[in-house]
Amino acid sequence: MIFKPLDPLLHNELRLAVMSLLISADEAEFTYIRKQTNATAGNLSVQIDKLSAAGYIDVEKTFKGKRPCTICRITTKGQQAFEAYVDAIKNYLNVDKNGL
Amino acid sequence: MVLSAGAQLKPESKTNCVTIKIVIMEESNNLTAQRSLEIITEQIEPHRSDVTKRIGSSLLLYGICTMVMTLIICGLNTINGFYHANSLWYIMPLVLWGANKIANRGKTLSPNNQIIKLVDNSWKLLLILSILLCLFSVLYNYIMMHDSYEVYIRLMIRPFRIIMLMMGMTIAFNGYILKQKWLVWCGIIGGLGCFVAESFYLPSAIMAWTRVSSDMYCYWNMCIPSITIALFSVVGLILPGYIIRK
Repeated sequence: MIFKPLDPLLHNELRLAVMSLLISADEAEFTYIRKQTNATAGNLSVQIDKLSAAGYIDVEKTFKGKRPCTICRITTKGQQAFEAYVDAIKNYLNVDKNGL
Repeated sequence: MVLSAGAQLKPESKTNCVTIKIVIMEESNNLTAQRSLEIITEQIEPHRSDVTKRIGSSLLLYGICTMVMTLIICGLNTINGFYHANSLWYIMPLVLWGANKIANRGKTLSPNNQIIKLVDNSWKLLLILSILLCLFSVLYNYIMMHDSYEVYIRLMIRPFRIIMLMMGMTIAFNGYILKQKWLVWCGIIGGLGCFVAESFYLPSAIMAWTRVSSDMYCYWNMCIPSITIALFSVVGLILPGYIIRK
Protein backbone atom coordinates (compact mmCIF):
# COMPACT_ATOMS: atom_id res chain seq x y z
CA MET A 1 0.00 0.00 0.00
CA ILE A 2 1.53 3.33 -1.06
CA PHE A 3 0.32 6.47 0.65
CA LYS A 4 -0.36 9.61 -1.27
CA PRO A 5 1.90 12.45 -0.11
CA LEU A 6 0.55 14.91 2.46
CA ASP A 7 1.28 18.53 1.77
CA PRO A 8 2.93 19.80 5.00
CA LEU A 9 1.80 23.33 4.27
CA LEU A 10 -1.82 22.26 4.50
CA HIS A 11 -1.24 19.76 7.29
CA ASN A 12 -1.69 22.38 9.98
CA GLU A 13 -4.94 23.16 11.79
CA LEU A 14 -5.14 26.87 11.09
CA ARG A 15 -3.83 26.78 7.53
CA LEU A 16 -6.20 23.93 6.70
CA ALA A 17 -9.10 25.85 8.27
CA VAL A 18 -8.25 28.93 6.19
CA MET A 19 -8.03 26.90 2.99
CA SER A 20 -11.31 25.08 3.75
CA LEU A 21 -13.03 28.39 4.31
CA LEU A 22 -11.67 29.89 1.11
CA ILE A 23 -12.51 26.82 -0.98
CA SER A 24 -16.21 27.35 -0.22
CA ALA A 25 -16.15 31.12 -0.72
CA ASP A 26 -14.84 33.13 -3.63
CA GLU A 27 -13.09 35.55 -1.30
CA ALA A 28 -13.12 36.37 2.38
CA GLU A 29 -12.03 39.28 4.50
CA PHE A 30 -9.31 38.82 7.11
CA THR A 31 -11.75 39.69 9.92
CA TYR A 32 -14.26 37.11 8.71
CA ILE A 33 -11.58 34.40 8.55
CA ARG A 34 -10.37 35.32 12.03
CA LYS A 35 -13.89 35.12 13.40
CA GLN A 36 -14.59 31.78 11.76
CA THR A 37 -11.32 30.16 12.76
CA ASN A 38 -11.12 31.68 16.27
CA ALA A 39 -7.47 32.50 15.65
CA THR A 40 -5.46 35.44 16.92
CA ALA A 41 -4.71 38.18 14.40
CA GLY A 42 -0.94 37.63 14.68
CA ASN A 43 -1.06 33.87 14.19
CA LEU A 44 -3.54 34.13 11.34
CA SER A 45 -1.43 36.77 9.65
CA VAL A 46 1.65 34.53 9.79
CA GLN A 47 -0.23 31.52 8.38
CA ILE A 48 -1.80 33.62 5.62
CA ASP A 49 1.64 34.90 4.67
CA LYS A 50 2.87 31.30 4.40
CA LEU A 51 -0.06 30.28 2.19
CA SER A 52 0.41 33.39 0.10
CA ALA A 53 4.16 32.75 -0.29
CA ALA A 54 3.36 29.23 -1.53
CA GLY A 55 0.98 30.71 -4.09
CA TYR A 56 -2.05 28.99 -2.58
CA ILE A 57 -3.91 32.24 -1.89
CA ASP A 58 -3.93 35.80 -3.17
CA VAL A 59 -3.92 38.57 -0.62
CA GLU A 60 -5.27 41.97 -1.56
CA LYS A 61 -4.94 44.92 0.77
CA THR A 62 -7.58 47.58 0.17
CA PHE A 63 -9.65 50.07 2.15
CA LYS A 64 -13.25 49.76 3.24
CA GLY A 65 -14.17 53.37 3.76
CA LYS A 66 -11.30 54.66 5.85
CA ARG A 67 -10.43 51.31 7.42
CA PRO A 68 -7.86 48.95 5.91
CA CYS A 69 -9.29 45.70 4.64
CA THR A 70 -7.41 42.52 3.70
CA ILE A 71 -9.14 40.21 1.23
CA CYS A 72 -7.98 36.64 0.66
CA ARG A 73 -8.75 34.55 -2.40
CA ILE A 74 -7.81 30.98 -3.18
CA THR A 75 -5.75 30.47 -6.34
CA THR A 76 -5.96 27.62 -8.85
CA LYS A 77 -2.73 26.22 -7.39
CA GLY A 78 -4.33 26.38 -3.95
CA GLN A 79 -7.44 24.57 -5.17
CA GLN A 80 -5.34 21.83 -6.71
CA ALA A 81 -3.27 21.48 -3.54
CA PHE A 82 -6.41 21.30 -1.43
CA GLU A 83 -7.94 18.64 -3.68
CA ALA A 84 -4.74 16.62 -3.54
CA TYR A 85 -4.67 16.96 0.26
CA VAL A 86 -8.29 15.77 0.59
CA ASP A 87 -7.51 12.83 -1.72
CA ALA A 88 -4.52 11.92 0.42
CA ILE A 89 -6.60 12.13 3.60
CA LYS A 90 -9.25 9.90 2.02
CA ASN A 91 -6.48 7.49 1.16
CA TYR A 92 -5.36 7.39 4.79
CA LEU A 93 -8.92 6.94 6.02
CA ASN A 94 -9.60 4.09 3.63
CA VAL A 95 -6.62 2.24 5.01
CA ASP A 96 -7.85 3.04 8.48
CA LYS A 97 -11.25 1.53 7.70
CA ASN A 98 -9.84 -1.55 6.03
CA GLY A 99 -6.87 -2.00 8.32
CA LEU A 100 -8.53 -1.72 11.73
CA MET B 1 8.82 19.33 2.06
CA VAL B 2 6.25 16.72 1.18
CA LEU B 3 5.69 13.67 3.35
CA SER B 4 5.44 10.46 1.41
CA ALA B 5 4.95 7.43 3.57
CA GLY B 6 4.99 4.95 0.73
CA ALA B 7 8.22 6.26 -0.72
CA GLN B 8 10.20 5.93 2.48
CA LEU B 9 8.74 2.84 4.14
CA LYS B 10 7.38 -0.35 2.76
CA PRO B 11 4.82 -1.80 5.18
CA GLU B 12 4.49 -5.55 5.00
CA SER B 13 1.03 -5.97 6.44
CA LYS B 14 -2.10 -3.86 6.84
CA THR B 15 -1.52 -3.46 10.58
CA ASN B 16 2.02 -2.17 10.05
CA CYS B 17 0.70 0.10 7.40
CA VAL B 18 -1.76 1.74 9.80
CA THR B 19 0.91 2.10 12.52
CA ILE B 20 3.32 3.80 10.12
CA LYS B 21 0.52 6.10 8.96
CA ILE B 22 -0.35 7.13 12.52
CA VAL B 23 3.31 7.81 13.37
CA ILE B 24 3.78 9.96 10.29
CA MET B 25 0.60 11.94 10.92
CA GLU B 26 1.43 12.52 14.55
CA GLU B 27 4.86 13.80 13.64
CA SER B 28 3.29 16.52 11.59
CA ASN B 29 1.44 18.77 14.04
CA ASN B 30 -0.37 15.92 15.78
CA LEU B 31 -3.07 16.16 13.16
CA THR B 32 -4.83 12.90 12.40
CA ALA B 33 -6.78 12.18 9.23
CA GLN B 34 -10.03 12.31 11.16
CA ARG B 35 -9.16 15.66 12.71
CA SER B 36 -8.22 17.04 9.28
CA LEU B 37 -11.60 16.06 7.89
CA GLU B 38 -13.29 17.51 10.97
CA ILE B 39 -11.55 20.86 10.40
CA ILE B 40 -12.61 20.90 6.76
CA THR B 41 -16.23 20.06 7.68
CA GLU B 42 -16.25 22.61 10.54
CA GLN B 43 -15.30 25.37 8.12
CA ILE B 44 -17.42 24.37 5.14
CA GLU B 45 -20.70 23.44 6.87
CA PRO B 46 -21.42 26.73 8.72
CA HIS B 47 -20.51 28.69 5.61
CA ARG B 48 -22.88 26.57 3.53
CA SER B 49 -25.72 27.16 5.97
CA ASP B 50 -24.88 30.90 6.07
CA VAL B 51 -25.05 31.03 2.29
CA THR B 52 -28.39 29.20 2.16
CA LYS B 53 -29.89 31.55 4.75
CA ARG B 54 -28.58 34.56 2.85
CA ILE B 55 -30.14 33.37 -0.41
CA GLY B 56 -33.40 32.71 1.44
CA SER B 57 -33.42 36.20 2.95
CA SER B 58 -32.67 37.82 -0.42
CA LEU B 59 -35.48 35.92 -2.15
CA LEU B 60 -37.87 36.84 0.66
CA LEU B 61 -36.90 40.50 0.47
CA TYR B 62 -37.19 40.63 -3.35
CA GLY B 63 -40.54 38.87 -3.13
CA ILE B 64 -41.97 41.27 -0.56
CA CYS B 65 -40.70 44.31 -2.50
CA THR B 66 -42.18 42.98 -5.76
CA MET B 67 -45.51 42.27 -4.12
CA VAL B 68 -45.72 45.67 -2.43
CA MET B 69 -44.81 47.35 -5.73
CA THR B 70 -47.47 45.38 -7.64
CA LEU B 71 -50.12 46.32 -5.08
CA ILE B 72 -49.14 50.00 -5.24
CA ILE B 73 -49.17 49.97 -9.06
CA CYS B 74 -52.46 48.07 -9.18
CA GLY B 75 -54.01 50.53 -6.71
CA LEU B 76 -52.78 53.60 -8.60
CA ASN B 77 -53.91 52.16 -11.95
CA THR B 78 -57.40 51.47 -10.70
CA ILE B 79 -57.70 54.89 -9.01
CA ASN B 80 -56.53 56.77 -12.11
CA GLY B 81 -58.10 54.44 -14.61
CA PHE B 82 -54.91 54.58 -16.68
CA TYR B 83 -51.79 52.46 -17.00
CA HIS B 84 -49.46 55.37 -16.13
CA ALA B 85 -48.49 53.89 -12.79
CA ASN B 86 -46.80 51.01 -14.67
CA SER B 87 -43.83 53.31 -15.23
CA LEU B 88 -43.09 52.87 -11.52
CA TRP B 89 -41.54 49.51 -12.48
CA TYR B 90 -38.57 51.47 -13.81
CA ILE B 91 -37.57 52.44 -10.27
CA MET B 92 -37.71 48.80 -9.12
CA PRO B 93 -33.90 48.30 -9.23
CA LEU B 94 -33.55 51.34 -6.97
CA VAL B 95 -36.19 49.97 -4.58
CA LEU B 96 -34.47 46.58 -4.39
CA TRP B 97 -31.05 48.15 -3.90
CA GLY B 98 -32.39 50.37 -1.10
CA ALA B 99 -34.25 47.52 0.58
CA ASN B 100 -31.13 45.35 0.40
CA LYS B 101 -29.01 48.11 1.96
CA ILE B 102 -31.49 48.62 4.81
CA ALA B 103 -31.88 44.88 5.45
CA ASN B 104 -28.14 44.26 5.60
CA ARG B 105 -27.20 47.39 7.57
CA GLY B 106 -24.86 46.55 10.42
CA LYS B 107 -24.74 42.84 9.55
CA THR B 108 -21.52 40.92 8.94
CA LEU B 109 -22.27 39.11 5.71
CA SER B 110 -20.72 35.78 4.84
CA PRO B 111 -18.51 36.00 1.74
CA ASN B 112 -20.03 35.45 -1.68
CA ASN B 113 -19.77 32.16 -3.46
CA GLN B 114 -20.79 30.91 -6.88
CA ILE B 115 -24.36 29.98 -5.83
CA ILE B 116 -25.09 33.40 -4.31
CA LYS B 117 -23.66 35.08 -7.41
CA LEU B 118 -25.71 32.89 -9.77
CA VAL B 119 -29.00 33.51 -7.92
CA ASP B 120 -28.32 37.24 -7.56
CA ASN B 121 -27.27 37.66 -11.16
CA SER B 122 -30.22 35.70 -12.54
CA TRP B 123 -32.65 38.17 -10.88
CA LYS B 124 -30.57 41.18 -11.85
CA LEU B 125 -30.54 39.96 -15.46
CA LEU B 126 -34.32 39.48 -15.39
CA LEU B 127 -34.79 42.99 -14.05
CA ILE B 128 -32.50 44.58 -16.64
CA LEU B 129 -34.01 42.61 -19.55
CA SER B 130 -37.54 43.42 -18.40
CA ILE B 131 -36.84 47.13 -18.20
CA LEU B 132 -35.08 47.13 -21.58
CA LEU B 133 -37.95 45.19 -23.12
CA CYS B 134 -40.49 47.61 -21.67
CA LEU B 135 -38.58 50.62 -22.97
CA PHE B 136 -38.20 49.04 -26.39
CA SER B 137 -41.86 48.03 -26.57
CA VAL B 138 -43.01 51.54 -25.56
CA LEU B 139 -40.88 53.05 -28.32
CA TYR B 140 -41.82 50.41 -30.89
CA ASN B 141 -45.53 50.59 -30.13
CA TYR B 142 -45.40 54.40 -30.28
CA ILE B 143 -43.92 54.23 -33.78
CA MET B 144 -46.33 51.49 -34.86
CA MET B 145 -49.27 53.49 -33.56
CA HIS B 146 -48.92 55.78 -36.57
CA ASP B 147 -49.77 52.87 -38.85
CA SER B 148 -53.27 51.51 -39.41
CA TYR B 149 -55.12 50.02 -36.42
CA GLU B 150 -55.10 46.47 -37.89
CA VAL B 151 -51.35 46.55 -38.43
CA TYR B 152 -50.76 48.04 -34.99
CA ILE B 153 -52.86 45.38 -33.23
CA ARG B 154 -51.04 42.60 -35.06
CA LEU B 155 -47.51 43.88 -34.67
CA MET B 156 -47.59 45.61 -31.31
CA ILE B 157 -45.29 44.18 -28.63
CA ARG B 158 -46.97 43.04 -25.42
CA PRO B 159 -44.04 42.81 -23.04
CA PHE B 160 -46.00 41.39 -20.11
CA ARG B 161 -46.20 37.82 -21.45
CA ILE B 162 -42.49 37.80 -22.32
CA ILE B 163 -41.58 39.13 -18.87
CA MET B 164 -43.75 36.44 -17.26
CA LEU B 165 -42.05 33.77 -19.38
CA MET B 166 -38.61 35.08 -18.39
CA MET B 167 -39.67 35.26 -14.74
CA GLY B 168 -40.85 31.64 -14.89
CA MET B 169 -37.55 30.57 -16.40
CA THR B 170 -35.61 32.46 -13.72
CA ILE B 171 -37.64 30.71 -11.00
CA ALA B 172 -36.97 27.34 -12.68
CA PHE B 173 -33.26 28.16 -12.96
CA ASN B 174 -33.15 29.11 -9.27
CA GLY B 175 -34.92 25.88 -8.36
CA TYR B 176 -32.34 23.93 -10.35
CA ILE B 177 -29.44 25.68 -8.62
CA LEU B 178 -30.98 25.28 -5.16
CA LYS B 179 -31.96 21.67 -5.93
CA GLN B 180 -35.68 22.29 -5.30
CA LYS B 181 -37.61 20.29 -7.89
CA TRP B 182 -40.98 21.80 -7.01
CA LEU B 183 -39.60 25.25 -7.72
CA VAL B 184 -38.37 24.14 -11.15
CA TRP B 185 -41.86 22.88 -12.04
CA CYS B 186 -43.53 26.00 -10.60
CA GLY B 187 -41.33 28.15 -12.83
CA ILE B 188 -41.88 26.10 -15.99
CA ILE B 189 -45.65 25.66 -15.56
CA GLY B 190 -46.23 29.23 -14.34
CA GLY B 191 -44.04 30.87 -16.99
CA LEU B 192 -45.37 28.87 -19.93
CA GLY B 193 -48.94 29.06 -18.59
CA CYS B 194 -48.85 32.85 -18.35
CA PHE B 195 -47.24 33.16 -21.77
CA VAL B 196 -49.85 30.99 -23.46
CA ALA B 197 -52.74 32.59 -21.54
CA GLU B 198 -51.60 36.09 -22.46
CA SER B 199 -50.83 35.17 -26.07
CA PHE B 200 -54.37 33.89 -26.59
CA TYR B 201 -56.01 36.66 -24.50
CA LEU B 202 -57.33 34.03 -22.09
CA PRO B 203 -58.06 36.42 -19.15
CA SER B 204 -60.03 38.74 -21.47
CA ALA B 205 -61.86 35.76 -22.99
CA ILE B 206 -62.81 34.50 -19.52
CA MET B 207 -64.11 37.93 -18.55
CA ALA B 208 -66.09 38.24 -21.77
CA TRP B 209 -67.50 34.78 -21.17
CA THR B 210 -68.63 35.71 -17.64
CA ARG B 211 -70.34 38.79 -19.17
CA VAL B 212 -69.06 41.32 -16.68
CA SER B 213 -69.89 44.99 -17.17
CA SER B 214 -67.53 47.05 -19.32
CA ASP B 215 -66.34 48.95 -16.22
CA MET B 216 -65.49 45.73 -14.44
CA TYR B 217 -63.84 44.44 -17.62
CA CYS B 218 -61.53 47.47 -17.75
CA TYR B 219 -60.89 47.22 -14.03
CA TRP B 220 -59.87 43.57 -14.17
CA ASN B 221 -57.86 44.12 -17.33
CA MET B 222 -55.76 46.59 -15.37
CA CYS B 223 -55.49 44.36 -12.31
CA ILE B 224 -54.70 41.00 -13.93
CA PRO B 225 -51.03 41.74 -14.76
CA SER B 226 -50.43 42.98 -11.20
CA ILE B 227 -52.22 39.98 -9.68
CA THR B 228 -50.16 37.60 -11.85
CA ILE B 229 -46.89 39.24 -10.84
CA ALA B 230 -47.95 39.20 -7.19
CA LEU B 231 -48.74 35.47 -7.44
CA PHE B 232 -45.40 34.85 -9.10
CA SER B 233 -43.58 36.74 -6.39
CA VAL B 234 -45.29 34.58 -3.75
CA VAL B 235 -44.56 31.27 -5.49
CA GLY B 236 -41.17 32.12 -6.93
CA LEU B 237 -39.67 34.38 -4.27
CA ILE B 238 -41.47 34.55 -0.94
CA LEU B 239 -42.28 30.85 -0.55
CA PRO B 240 -38.85 29.46 -1.56
CA GLY B 241 -37.16 32.21 0.45
CA TYR B 242 -39.16 31.23 3.53
CA ILE B 243 -38.52 27.49 3.02
CA ILE B 244 -34.80 27.94 2.40
CA ARG B 245 -34.39 30.16 5.45
CA LYS B 246 -36.17 27.61 7.59
